[in-house]
Amino acid sequence: MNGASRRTIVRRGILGVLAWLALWEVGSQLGEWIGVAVPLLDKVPPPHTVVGDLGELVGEAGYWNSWSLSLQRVLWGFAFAIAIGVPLALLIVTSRTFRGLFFPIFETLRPIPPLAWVPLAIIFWPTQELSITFVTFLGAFFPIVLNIVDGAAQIDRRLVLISRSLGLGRVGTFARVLLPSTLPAMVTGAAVGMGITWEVVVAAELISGGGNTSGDGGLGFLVWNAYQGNDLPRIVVGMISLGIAGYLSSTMVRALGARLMPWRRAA
Amino acid sequence: MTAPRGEVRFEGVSVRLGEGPAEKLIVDGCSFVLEAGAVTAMIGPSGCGKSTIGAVLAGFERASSGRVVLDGREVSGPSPERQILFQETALMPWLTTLENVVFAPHARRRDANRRRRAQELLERVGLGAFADRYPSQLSGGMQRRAELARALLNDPALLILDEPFRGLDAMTRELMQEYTAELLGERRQTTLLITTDIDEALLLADRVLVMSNRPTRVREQLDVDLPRPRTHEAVLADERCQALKRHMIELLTDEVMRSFAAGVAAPADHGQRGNGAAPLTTTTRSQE
Repeated sequence: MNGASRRTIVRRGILGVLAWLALWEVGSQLGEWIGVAVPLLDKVPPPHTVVGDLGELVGEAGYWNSWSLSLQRVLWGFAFAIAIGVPLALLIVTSRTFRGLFFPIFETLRPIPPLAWVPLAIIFWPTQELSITFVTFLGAFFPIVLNIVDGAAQIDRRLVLISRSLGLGRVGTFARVLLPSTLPAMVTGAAVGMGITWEVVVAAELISGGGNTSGDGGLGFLVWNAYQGNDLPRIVVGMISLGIAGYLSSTMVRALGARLMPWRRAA
Repeated sequence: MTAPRGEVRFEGVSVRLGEGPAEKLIVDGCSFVLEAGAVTAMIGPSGCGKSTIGAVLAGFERASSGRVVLDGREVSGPSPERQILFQETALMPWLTTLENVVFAPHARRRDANRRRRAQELLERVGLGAFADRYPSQLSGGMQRRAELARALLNDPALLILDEPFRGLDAMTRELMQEYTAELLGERRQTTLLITTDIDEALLLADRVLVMSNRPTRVREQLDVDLPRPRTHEAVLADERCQALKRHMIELLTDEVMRSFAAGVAAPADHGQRGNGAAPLTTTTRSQE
Protein backbone atom coordinates (compact mmCIF):
# COMPACT_ATOMS: atom_id res chain seq x y z
CA MET A 1 0.00 0.00 0.00
CA ASN A 2 1.40 3.38 -0.78
CA GLY A 3 0.78 6.35 1.40
CA ALA A 4 -2.22 5.61 3.58
CA SER A 5 -1.93 3.03 6.33
CA ARG A 6 -4.47 0.29 6.86
CA ARG A 7 -6.08 2.20 9.70
CA THR A 8 -6.51 5.32 7.62
CA ILE A 9 -8.13 3.27 4.87
CA VAL A 10 -10.61 1.71 7.31
CA ARG A 11 -11.36 5.12 8.83
CA ARG A 12 -11.99 6.63 5.40
CA GLY A 13 -14.23 3.71 4.47
CA ILE A 14 -16.38 4.15 7.57
CA LEU A 15 -16.51 7.92 7.09
CA GLY A 16 -17.60 7.45 3.47
CA VAL A 17 -20.42 5.11 4.46
CA LEU A 18 -21.62 7.48 7.23
CA ALA A 19 -21.56 10.49 4.92
CA TRP A 20 -23.50 8.56 2.32
CA LEU A 21 -26.11 7.52 4.92
CA ALA A 22 -26.48 11.11 6.07
CA LEU A 23 -27.03 12.34 2.52
CA TRP A 24 -29.57 9.63 1.96
CA GLU A 25 -31.45 10.47 5.18
CA VAL A 26 -31.53 14.18 4.39
CA GLY A 27 -32.36 13.58 0.72
CA SER A 28 -35.32 11.35 1.36
CA GLN A 29 -36.72 13.53 4.18
CA LEU A 30 -36.26 16.94 2.59
CA GLY A 31 -39.69 16.86 0.97
CA GLU A 32 -41.30 16.40 4.39
CA TRP A 33 -39.09 18.88 6.20
CA ILE A 34 -39.09 21.91 3.89
CA GLY A 35 -41.37 20.85 1.07
CA VAL A 36 -38.64 20.64 -1.55
CA ALA A 37 -38.51 17.05 -2.75
CA VAL A 38 -35.25 15.66 -4.09
CA PRO A 39 -36.02 13.72 -7.28
CA LEU A 40 -35.66 9.91 -7.01
CA LEU A 41 -34.40 10.00 -3.42
CA ASP A 42 -37.81 11.27 -2.36
CA LYS A 43 -39.31 7.88 -3.22
CA VAL A 44 -36.72 5.92 -1.27
CA PRO A 45 -37.42 5.11 2.39
CA PRO A 46 -34.99 6.95 4.69
CA PRO A 47 -32.22 4.92 6.36
CA HIS A 48 -33.78 4.94 9.81
CA THR A 49 -36.87 3.07 8.61
CA VAL A 50 -34.65 0.70 6.61
CA VAL A 51 -32.53 0.06 9.69
CA GLY A 52 -35.72 -0.55 11.64
CA ASP A 53 -36.86 -3.05 9.05
CA LEU A 54 -33.45 -4.64 8.99
CA GLY A 55 -33.62 -5.11 12.76
CA GLU A 56 -36.92 -6.87 12.27
CA LEU A 57 -35.66 -8.99 9.38
CA VAL A 58 -32.52 -10.07 11.16
CA GLY A 59 -34.70 -11.73 13.74
CA GLU A 60 -36.51 -13.81 11.11
CA ALA A 61 -35.23 -17.23 10.15
CA GLY A 62 -36.43 -16.69 6.59
CA TYR A 63 -34.00 -13.84 6.03
CA TRP A 64 -30.98 -15.94 6.96
CA ASN A 65 -32.41 -18.80 5.00
CA SER A 66 -32.47 -16.55 1.95
CA TRP A 67 -28.84 -15.65 2.51
CA SER A 68 -27.86 -19.25 2.82
CA LEU A 69 -29.90 -20.32 -0.22
CA SER A 70 -28.46 -17.65 -2.51
CA LEU A 71 -24.97 -18.19 -1.16
CA GLN A 72 -25.18 -21.92 -1.78
CA ARG A 73 -26.33 -21.39 -5.36
CA VAL A 74 -23.54 -18.89 -5.96
CA LEU A 75 -20.85 -21.06 -4.40
CA TRP A 76 -21.89 -24.25 -6.16
CA GLY A 77 -22.20 -22.51 -9.51
CA PHE A 78 -18.86 -20.81 -8.97
CA ALA A 79 -17.14 -24.01 -7.82
CA PHE A 80 -18.34 -25.91 -10.88
CA ALA A 81 -17.30 -23.02 -13.12
CA ILE A 82 -13.77 -23.22 -11.69
CA ALA A 83 -13.64 -27.03 -11.73
CA ILE A 84 -14.76 -27.26 -15.36
CA GLY A 85 -13.62 -23.90 -16.72
CA VAL A 86 -9.97 -23.96 -15.63
CA PRO A 87 -9.05 -27.38 -17.12
CA LEU A 88 -11.05 -26.60 -20.25
CA ALA A 89 -9.28 -23.26 -20.72
CA LEU A 90 -5.91 -24.92 -20.21
CA LEU A 91 -6.80 -27.52 -22.84
CA ILE A 92 -7.77 -24.77 -25.29
CA VAL A 93 -4.51 -23.02 -24.56
CA THR A 94 -2.24 -26.04 -24.92
CA SER A 95 -3.84 -28.08 -27.70
CA ARG A 96 -4.32 -26.54 -31.09
CA THR A 97 -6.54 -29.42 -32.15
CA PHE A 98 -8.81 -29.00 -29.17
CA ARG A 99 -8.93 -25.26 -29.68
CA GLY A 100 -9.95 -25.75 -33.30
CA LEU A 101 -12.69 -28.20 -32.33
CA PHE A 102 -14.09 -26.41 -29.33
CA PHE A 103 -13.51 -22.68 -29.69
CA PRO A 104 -16.16 -21.97 -32.34
CA ILE A 105 -18.85 -23.56 -30.16
CA PHE A 106 -17.58 -21.68 -27.15
CA GLU A 107 -17.65 -18.38 -29.01
CA THR A 108 -21.22 -19.02 -30.16
CA LEU A 109 -22.53 -19.87 -26.70
CA ARG A 110 -20.63 -17.12 -24.92
CA PRO A 111 -22.67 -14.11 -26.13
CA ILE A 112 -25.93 -15.72 -24.97
CA PRO A 113 -26.84 -13.93 -21.70
CA PRO A 114 -27.10 -16.42 -18.82
CA LEU A 115 -30.69 -15.27 -18.25
CA ALA A 116 -31.67 -16.46 -21.72
CA TRP A 117 -30.75 -19.92 -20.46
CA VAL A 118 -33.30 -19.83 -17.64
CA PRO A 119 -36.29 -21.30 -19.53
CA LEU A 120 -34.21 -24.09 -21.00
CA ALA A 121 -32.54 -24.73 -17.64
CA ILE A 122 -35.91 -25.06 -15.94
CA ILE A 123 -37.04 -27.62 -18.52
CA PHE A 124 -33.69 -29.34 -18.63
CA TRP A 125 -32.88 -29.88 -14.96
CA PRO A 126 -35.07 -32.02 -12.70
CA THR A 127 -35.17 -29.56 -9.80
CA GLN A 128 -35.54 -25.80 -9.55
CA GLU A 129 -32.42 -25.71 -7.40
CA LEU A 130 -30.32 -27.35 -10.10
CA SER A 131 -31.71 -24.97 -12.75
CA ILE A 132 -30.73 -21.90 -10.76
CA THR A 133 -27.30 -23.31 -9.92
CA PHE A 134 -26.75 -24.19 -13.57
CA VAL A 135 -27.51 -20.65 -14.72
CA THR A 136 -25.22 -19.31 -12.00
CA PHE A 137 -22.51 -21.66 -13.21
CA LEU A 138 -22.84 -20.27 -16.75
CA GLY A 139 -22.43 -16.74 -15.44
CA ALA A 140 -19.01 -17.52 -13.98
CA PHE A 141 -17.90 -20.13 -16.52
CA PHE A 142 -17.46 -17.89 -19.57
CA PRO A 143 -15.44 -15.08 -17.98
CA ILE A 144 -13.17 -17.62 -16.30
CA VAL A 145 -12.41 -19.49 -19.53
CA LEU A 146 -12.07 -16.34 -21.57
CA ASN A 147 -9.69 -14.65 -19.13
CA ILE A 148 -7.39 -17.66 -19.01
CA VAL A 149 -7.32 -18.01 -22.80
CA ASP A 150 -6.54 -14.30 -23.17
CA GLY A 151 -3.97 -14.43 -20.39
CA ALA A 152 -2.17 -17.36 -21.96
CA ALA A 153 -1.99 -15.54 -25.28
CA GLN A 154 -0.03 -12.80 -23.55
CA ILE A 155 2.59 -15.06 -22.02
CA ASP A 156 6.10 -13.73 -22.42
CA ARG A 157 7.51 -15.96 -25.17
CA ARG A 158 11.03 -15.43 -23.92
CA LEU A 159 10.19 -17.13 -20.63
CA VAL A 160 9.14 -20.22 -22.58
CA LEU A 161 12.32 -20.12 -24.68
CA ILE A 162 14.52 -19.68 -21.60
CA SER A 163 12.85 -22.59 -19.82
CA ARG A 164 13.57 -24.81 -22.82
CA SER A 165 17.17 -23.65 -22.78
CA LEU A 166 17.35 -24.55 -19.11
CA GLY A 167 16.29 -28.09 -19.98
CA LEU A 168 12.52 -28.14 -19.40
CA GLY A 169 10.33 -30.34 -21.61
CA ARG A 170 6.69 -29.82 -22.55
CA VAL A 171 5.30 -30.92 -19.21
CA GLY A 172 7.84 -28.91 -17.24
CA THR A 173 7.17 -25.80 -19.29
CA PHE A 174 3.44 -26.23 -18.76
CA ALA A 175 3.71 -26.68 -15.01
CA ARG A 176 6.46 -24.20 -14.26
CA VAL A 177 5.95 -21.44 -16.83
CA LEU A 178 2.47 -21.58 -18.33
CA LEU A 179 0.54 -22.20 -15.09
CA PRO A 180 2.16 -19.48 -13.01
CA SER A 181 2.03 -17.10 -15.99
CA THR A 182 -1.74 -17.53 -16.35
CA LEU A 183 -2.44 -17.40 -12.60
CA PRO A 184 -3.13 -13.63 -12.60
CA ALA A 185 -5.64 -14.12 -15.43
CA MET A 186 -7.26 -16.98 -13.50
CA VAL A 187 -7.74 -14.77 -10.46
CA THR A 188 -9.13 -11.93 -12.59
CA GLY A 189 -11.50 -14.37 -14.30
CA ALA A 190 -12.59 -15.74 -10.92
CA ALA A 191 -13.23 -12.24 -9.51
CA VAL A 192 -15.24 -11.19 -12.58
CA GLY A 193 -17.07 -14.53 -12.57
CA MET A 194 -17.92 -14.19 -8.89
CA GLY A 195 -19.46 -10.76 -9.54
CA ILE A 196 -21.57 -12.15 -12.35
CA THR A 197 -22.82 -15.13 -10.31
CA TRP A 198 -24.51 -12.69 -7.91
CA GLU A 199 -26.14 -10.80 -10.75
CA VAL A 200 -27.32 -14.03 -12.27
CA VAL A 201 -28.54 -15.76 -9.13
CA VAL A 202 -30.82 -12.85 -8.27
CA ALA A 203 -32.35 -12.73 -11.73
CA ALA A 204 -32.74 -16.49 -11.82
CA GLU A 205 -34.52 -16.40 -8.47
CA LEU A 206 -36.84 -13.65 -9.70
CA ILE A 207 -37.78 -15.58 -12.81
CA SER A 208 -38.07 -19.02 -11.33
CA GLY A 209 -39.94 -17.89 -8.26
CA GLY A 210 -37.23 -18.77 -5.83
CA GLY A 211 -37.80 -22.47 -5.66
CA ASN A 212 -40.34 -22.60 -2.87
CA THR A 213 -43.42 -20.81 -1.70
CA SER A 214 -42.54 -20.19 1.92
CA GLY A 215 -41.07 -16.80 1.12
CA ASP A 216 -37.45 -17.62 1.75
CA GLY A 217 -36.38 -18.42 -1.79
CA GLY A 218 -33.10 -16.54 -1.75
CA LEU A 219 -32.18 -12.88 -1.54
CA GLY A 220 -33.35 -12.18 -5.07
CA PHE A 221 -36.70 -13.69 -4.28
CA LEU A 222 -36.83 -11.71 -1.04
CA VAL A 223 -36.59 -8.47 -3.05
CA TRP A 224 -39.25 -9.67 -5.49
CA ASN A 225 -41.55 -10.73 -2.70
CA ALA A 226 -41.17 -7.38 -0.94
CA TYR A 227 -42.00 -5.62 -4.19
CA GLN A 228 -45.19 -7.64 -4.60
CA GLY A 229 -46.12 -6.84 -1.03
CA ASN A 230 -45.27 -3.16 -1.67
CA ASP A 231 -42.83 -3.19 1.24
CA LEU A 232 -40.37 -0.51 0.21
CA PRO A 233 -37.95 -0.66 3.18
CA ARG A 234 -37.72 -4.41 2.75
CA ILE A 235 -36.78 -4.01 -0.94
CA VAL A 236 -33.96 -1.71 0.09
CA VAL A 237 -32.80 -4.10 2.83
CA GLY A 238 -32.74 -6.94 0.30
CA MET A 239 -30.74 -4.86 -2.14
CA ILE A 240 -28.21 -3.82 0.48
CA SER A 241 -27.89 -7.43 1.62
CA LEU A 242 -27.07 -8.40 -1.97
CA GLY A 243 -24.51 -5.60 -2.18
CA ILE A 244 -22.81 -6.78 0.99
CA ALA A 245 -22.87 -10.40 -0.17
CA GLY A 246 -21.27 -9.49 -3.52
CA TYR A 247 -18.69 -7.25 -1.85
CA LEU A 248 -17.69 -9.95 0.63
CA SER A 249 -17.38 -12.63 -2.06
CA SER A 250 -15.18 -10.57 -4.38
CA THR A 251 -13.04 -9.48 -1.44
CA MET A 252 -12.54 -13.14 -0.61
CA VAL A 253 -11.56 -14.00 -4.17
CA ARG A 254 -9.13 -11.07 -4.25
CA ALA A 255 -7.61 -12.02 -0.89
CA LEU A 256 -7.14 -15.58 -2.08
CA GLY A 257 -5.54 -14.26 -5.27
CA ALA A 258 -3.10 -12.13 -3.29
CA ARG A 259 -2.22 -15.21 -1.23
CA LEU A 260 -1.51 -17.24 -4.35
CA MET A 261 0.58 -14.49 -5.93
CA PRO A 262 2.95 -13.11 -3.29
CA TRP A 263 5.18 -11.64 -6.01
CA ARG A 264 2.43 -9.20 -6.90
CA ARG A 265 2.41 -7.72 -3.42
CA ALA A 266 6.16 -7.15 -3.59
CA ALA A 267 7.77 -4.20 -5.36
CA MET B 1 42.19 -24.84 -14.79
CA THR B 2 40.99 -27.07 -17.59
CA ALA B 3 41.21 -26.07 -21.24
CA PRO B 4 38.35 -23.80 -22.20
CA ARG B 5 35.37 -25.43 -23.88
CA GLY B 6 32.94 -24.04 -26.36
CA GLU B 7 34.59 -23.77 -29.75
CA VAL B 8 31.74 -22.99 -32.13
CA ARG B 9 31.93 -23.39 -35.88
CA PHE B 10 29.15 -21.76 -37.82
CA GLU B 11 29.48 -23.38 -41.24
CA GLY B 12 27.71 -21.93 -44.27
CA VAL B 13 24.49 -21.33 -42.35
CA SER B 14 21.50 -19.87 -44.16
CA VAL B 15 18.25 -19.08 -42.37
CA ARG B 16 14.90 -18.45 -43.99
CA LEU B 17 12.04 -17.24 -41.82
CA GLY B 18 8.36 -16.89 -42.64
CA GLU B 19 6.26 -19.00 -44.95
CA GLY B 20 5.14 -18.79 -48.56
CA PRO B 21 5.40 -15.35 -50.11
CA ALA B 22 6.39 -13.87 -46.73
CA GLU B 23 9.48 -16.09 -46.58
CA LYS B 24 12.69 -14.12 -46.26
CA LEU B 25 16.33 -14.97 -46.39
CA ILE B 26 17.73 -13.55 -43.14
CA VAL B 27 21.16 -15.21 -42.94
CA ASP B 28 22.97 -16.04 -46.15
CA GLY B 29 25.68 -18.70 -46.10
CA CYS B 30 27.28 -17.25 -43.02
CA SER B 31 30.46 -18.78 -41.61
CA PHE B 32 32.59 -17.92 -38.59
CA VAL B 33 34.38 -19.50 -35.67
CA LEU B 34 33.97 -18.60 -32.01
CA GLU B 35 37.22 -19.37 -30.31
CA ALA B 36 36.94 -21.36 -27.09
CA GLY B 37 37.36 -19.25 -23.97
CA ALA B 38 37.18 -15.98 -25.89
CA VAL B 39 34.58 -13.25 -26.18
CA THR B 40 33.51 -12.57 -29.75
CA ALA B 41 31.40 -9.52 -30.45
CA MET B 42 29.03 -9.46 -33.39
CA ILE B 43 28.23 -5.96 -34.54
CA GLY B 44 26.04 -4.84 -37.38
CA PRO B 45 23.16 -2.59 -38.36
CA SER B 46 20.09 -3.37 -36.29
CA GLY B 47 17.65 -5.61 -38.09
CA CYS B 48 20.46 -7.22 -40.08
CA GLY B 49 19.89 -10.69 -38.65
CA LYS B 50 22.32 -10.85 -35.73
CA SER B 51 19.60 -11.90 -33.31
CA THR B 52 18.55 -14.65 -35.72
CA ILE B 53 22.09 -16.00 -35.57
CA GLY B 54 21.84 -15.87 -31.76
CA ALA B 55 18.53 -17.76 -31.93
CA VAL B 56 20.09 -20.44 -34.18
CA LEU B 57 22.98 -20.88 -31.75
CA ALA B 58 20.55 -21.11 -28.82
CA GLY B 59 18.53 -23.67 -30.79
CA PHE B 60 15.31 -21.62 -31.06
CA GLU B 61 15.54 -21.37 -34.85
CA ARG B 62 16.71 -23.93 -37.36
CA ALA B 63 19.31 -23.35 -40.03
CA SER B 64 17.79 -23.92 -43.49
CA SER B 65 21.20 -25.08 -44.66
CA GLY B 66 24.68 -25.35 -43.23
CA ARG B 67 25.54 -26.58 -39.75
CA VAL B 68 26.48 -25.48 -36.27
CA VAL B 69 29.27 -27.43 -34.62
CA LEU B 70 30.07 -27.11 -30.92
CA ASP B 71 33.28 -28.75 -29.71
CA GLY B 72 33.19 -31.12 -32.66
CA ARG B 73 29.51 -32.11 -32.37
CA GLU B 74 26.76 -30.82 -34.61
CA VAL B 75 24.06 -29.24 -32.47
CA SER B 76 20.41 -28.21 -32.86
CA GLY B 77 17.55 -27.46 -30.50
CA PRO B 78 17.79 -25.73 -27.11
CA SER B 79 20.14 -27.16 -24.49
CA PRO B 80 21.55 -26.11 -21.11
CA GLU B 81 25.04 -26.12 -22.68
CA ARG B 82 24.05 -23.03 -24.69
CA GLN B 83 22.60 -20.19 -22.62
CA ILE B 84 21.23 -16.89 -23.87
CA LEU B 85 20.48 -13.48 -22.33
CA PHE B 86 17.87 -11.48 -24.21
CA GLN B 87 17.56 -7.74 -24.68
CA GLU B 88 14.98 -7.46 -21.93
CA THR B 89 14.96 -9.26 -18.65
CA ALA B 90 13.48 -12.76 -18.76
CA LEU B 91 13.33 -13.77 -15.12
CA MET B 92 10.24 -15.60 -13.91
CA PRO B 93 8.34 -12.86 -12.04
CA TRP B 94 6.79 -15.36 -9.61
CA LEU B 95 10.11 -16.73 -8.38
CA THR B 96 12.64 -15.14 -6.04
CA THR B 97 16.14 -14.40 -7.29
CA LEU B 98 17.56 -17.63 -5.87
CA GLU B 99 14.65 -19.71 -7.18
CA ASN B 100 15.23 -18.18 -10.60
CA VAL B 101 18.91 -19.06 -10.52
CA VAL B 102 18.18 -22.71 -9.66
CA PHE B 103 15.26 -22.90 -12.13
CA ALA B 104 16.86 -25.55 -14.36
CA PRO B 105 15.67 -29.06 -13.41
CA HIS B 106 19.19 -30.41 -12.93
CA ALA B 107 19.97 -27.39 -10.75
CA ARG B 108 16.99 -28.07 -8.50
CA ARG B 109 18.09 -31.44 -7.24
CA ARG B 110 18.18 -31.34 -3.49
CA ASP B 111 21.87 -31.18 -3.66
CA ALA B 112 23.38 -28.95 -1.02
CA ASN B 113 26.30 -28.35 -3.37
CA ARG B 114 24.07 -26.86 -6.04
CA ARG B 115 22.34 -24.53 -3.61
CA ARG B 116 25.67 -23.41 -2.26
CA ARG B 117 27.01 -22.82 -5.78
CA ALA B 118 23.92 -20.80 -6.64
CA GLN B 119 24.33 -18.73 -3.50
CA GLU B 120 28.04 -18.29 -4.28
CA LEU B 121 27.25 -17.18 -7.80
CA LEU B 122 24.75 -14.67 -6.45
CA GLU B 123 27.42 -13.35 -4.08
CA ARG B 124 29.81 -13.18 -7.02
CA VAL B 125 27.41 -11.02 -9.02
CA GLY B 126 26.71 -8.89 -5.95
CA LEU B 127 23.20 -10.15 -5.25
CA GLY B 128 23.91 -12.21 -2.14
CA ALA B 129 21.59 -10.07 -0.04
CA PHE B 130 18.83 -10.18 -2.66
CA ALA B 131 18.37 -13.96 -2.92
CA ASP B 132 14.84 -13.81 -1.51
CA ARG B 133 13.62 -10.78 -3.43
CA TYR B 134 11.32 -10.95 -6.42
CA PRO B 135 12.56 -9.67 -9.81
CA SER B 136 10.19 -6.70 -9.61
CA GLN B 137 12.11 -5.58 -6.53
CA LEU B 138 15.44 -5.53 -8.38
CA SER B 139 16.83 -2.74 -10.53
CA GLY B 140 17.47 -3.33 -14.24
CA GLY B 141 21.17 -3.93 -13.67
CA MET B 142 20.49 -6.38 -10.84
CA GLN B 143 18.02 -8.30 -12.99
CA ARG B 144 20.70 -8.66 -15.69
CA ARG B 145 23.18 -9.96 -13.12
CA ALA B 146 20.65 -12.46 -11.75
CA GLU B 147 20.13 -13.76 -15.28
CA LEU B 148 23.87 -13.97 -15.75
CA ALA B 149 24.06 -16.08 -12.59
CA ARG B 150 21.22 -18.32 -13.81
CA ALA B 151 22.99 -18.89 -17.13
CA LEU B 152 26.41 -19.50 -15.53
CA LEU B 153 25.06 -22.04 -13.02
CA ASN B 154 24.58 -24.35 -16.02
CA ASP B 155 28.27 -24.10 -16.89
CA PRO B 156 27.38 -23.37 -20.49
CA ALA B 157 29.90 -24.16 -23.19
CA LEU B 158 28.58 -21.10 -24.99
CA LEU B 159 27.03 -17.93 -23.58
CA ILE B 160 25.05 -15.77 -25.99
CA LEU B 161 24.46 -12.16 -24.96
CA ASP B 162 21.90 -10.57 -27.28
CA GLU B 163 22.25 -6.82 -26.69
CA PRO B 164 21.96 -7.46 -22.97
CA PHE B 165 22.62 -3.90 -21.81
CA ARG B 166 20.32 -2.15 -24.22
CA GLY B 167 17.51 -1.28 -21.80
CA LEU B 168 19.78 0.03 -19.02
CA ASP B 169 20.46 3.67 -18.27
CA ALA B 170 23.85 5.01 -19.37
CA MET B 171 25.59 4.80 -15.97
CA THR B 172 24.34 1.31 -15.16
CA ARG B 173 25.19 0.14 -18.65
CA GLU B 174 28.80 1.25 -18.32
CA LEU B 175 29.17 -0.44 -14.95
CA MET B 176 27.55 -3.63 -16.24
CA GLN B 177 29.83 -3.67 -19.28
CA GLU B 178 33.01 -3.42 -17.20
CA TYR B 179 31.67 -5.88 -14.68
CA THR B 180 30.72 -8.43 -17.34
CA ALA B 181 34.07 -8.03 -19.07
CA GLU B 182 35.79 -8.94 -15.81
CA LEU B 183 33.50 -11.88 -15.03
CA LEU B 184 33.78 -13.44 -18.50
CA GLY B 185 37.53 -12.96 -18.64
CA GLU B 186 38.01 -14.57 -15.24
CA ARG B 187 35.94 -17.63 -16.20
CA ARG B 188 37.33 -17.89 -19.72
CA GLN B 189 33.74 -18.22 -20.82
CA THR B 190 33.19 -18.68 -24.55
CA THR B 191 30.80 -15.85 -25.34
CA LEU B 192 29.04 -14.33 -28.32
CA LEU B 193 28.11 -10.72 -27.63
CA ILE B 194 25.57 -9.34 -30.08
CA THR B 195 25.60 -5.57 -30.06
CA THR B 196 25.19 -2.34 -32.03
CA ASP B 197 27.54 -0.49 -29.70
CA ILE B 198 31.14 -0.19 -30.95
CA ASP B 199 32.53 0.90 -27.58
CA GLU B 200 30.89 -2.07 -25.93
CA ALA B 201 32.43 -4.42 -28.48
CA LEU B 202 35.89 -2.92 -27.93
CA LEU B 203 35.56 -3.14 -24.16
CA LEU B 204 34.48 -6.75 -24.00
CA ALA B 205 35.64 -8.61 -27.08
CA ASP B 206 38.78 -10.42 -28.12
CA ARG B 207 37.50 -10.42 -31.67
CA VAL B 208 34.79 -8.52 -33.51
CA LEU B 209 32.70 -9.82 -36.41
CA VAL B 210 31.33 -6.92 -38.42
CA MET B 211 28.15 -8.10 -40.10
CA SER B 212 26.69 -7.06 -43.39
CA ASN B 213 23.18 -5.97 -44.09
CA ARG B 214 20.37 -8.49 -44.35
CA PRO B 215 20.66 -11.21 -45.57
CA THR B 216 23.62 -11.11 -43.25
CA ARG B 217 27.05 -12.66 -43.33
CA VAL B 218 30.42 -11.71 -41.87
CA ARG B 219 31.75 -8.65 -43.65
CA GLU B 220 35.02 -8.43 -41.79
CA GLN B 221 36.71 -9.96 -38.79
CA LEU B 222 38.84 -7.78 -36.52
CA ASP B 223 41.04 -8.76 -33.60
CA VAL B 224 40.93 -6.52 -30.54
CA ASP B 225 44.42 -6.89 -29.19
CA LEU B 226 44.16 -4.88 -26.00
CA PRO B 227 45.42 -5.84 -22.54
CA ARG B 228 42.93 -6.84 -19.85
CA PRO B 229 41.38 -5.81 -17.58
CA ARG B 230 39.97 -3.05 -19.75
CA THR B 231 38.05 -0.01 -18.62
CA HIS B 232 36.11 2.53 -20.64
CA GLU B 233 38.83 5.10 -19.95
CA ALA B 234 41.61 2.81 -21.13
CA VAL B 235 39.75 1.87 -24.30
CA LEU B 236 39.01 5.51 -25.10
CA ALA B 237 42.64 6.50 -24.56
CA ASP B 238 44.19 3.69 -26.63
CA GLU B 239 45.30 4.70 -30.11
CA ARG B 240 44.94 1.30 -31.77
CA CYS B 241 41.49 1.25 -30.36
CA GLN B 242 40.67 4.57 -31.95
CA ALA B 243 41.89 3.26 -35.29
CA LEU B 244 39.77 0.11 -34.93
CA LYS B 245 36.80 2.21 -34.01
CA ARG B 246 37.18 4.47 -37.05
CA HIS B 247 37.48 1.44 -39.26
CA MET B 248 34.35 -0.14 -37.78
CA ILE B 249 32.39 3.09 -38.17
CA GLU B 250 33.36 3.18 -41.85
CA LEU B 251 32.26 -0.41 -42.39
CA LEU B 252 29.03 0.04 -40.53
CA THR B 253 28.16 3.36 -42.13
CA ASP B 254 28.60 1.68 -45.46
CA GLU B 255 26.24 -1.15 -44.44
CA VAL B 256 23.70 1.25 -42.99
CA MET B 257 23.69 3.32 -46.18
CA ARG B 258 23.01 0.15 -48.13
CA SER B 259 20.21 -0.84 -45.86
CA PHE B 260 18.69 2.63 -46.26
CA ALA B 261 18.93 2.27 -50.01
CA ALA B 262 17.40 -1.21 -49.83
CA GLY B 263 14.68 0.16 -47.56
CA VAL B 264 13.74 2.78 -50.14
CA ALA B 265 13.80 0.25 -52.96
CA ALA B 266 11.76 -2.38 -51.14
CA PRO B 267 9.07 -0.76 -49.00
CA ALA B 268 7.43 -4.18 -48.53
CA ASP B 269 10.21 -4.89 -46.05
CA HIS B 270 8.60 -2.58 -43.51
CA GLY B 271 7.87 -3.91 -40.10
CA GLN B 272 9.65 -7.20 -40.56
CA ARG B 273 12.01 -8.00 -37.69
CA GLY B 274 13.57 -4.70 -36.74
CA ASN B 275 13.11 -1.65 -38.85
CA GLY B 276 15.71 -1.88 -41.55
CA ALA B 277 18.17 0.75 -40.54
CA ALA B 278 18.32 2.10 -37.04
CA PRO B 279 21.02 4.49 -35.92
CA LEU B 280 24.27 3.04 -34.71
CA THR B 281 25.53 3.88 -31.28
CA THR B 282 29.07 5.04 -31.55
CA THR B 283 29.66 6.91 -28.33
CA THR B 284 27.21 5.84 -25.69
CA ARG B 285 28.46 8.35 -23.19
CA SER B 286 28.03 11.57 -25.10
CA GLN B 287 24.60 10.63 -26.37
CA GLU B 288 22.73 9.99 -23.15
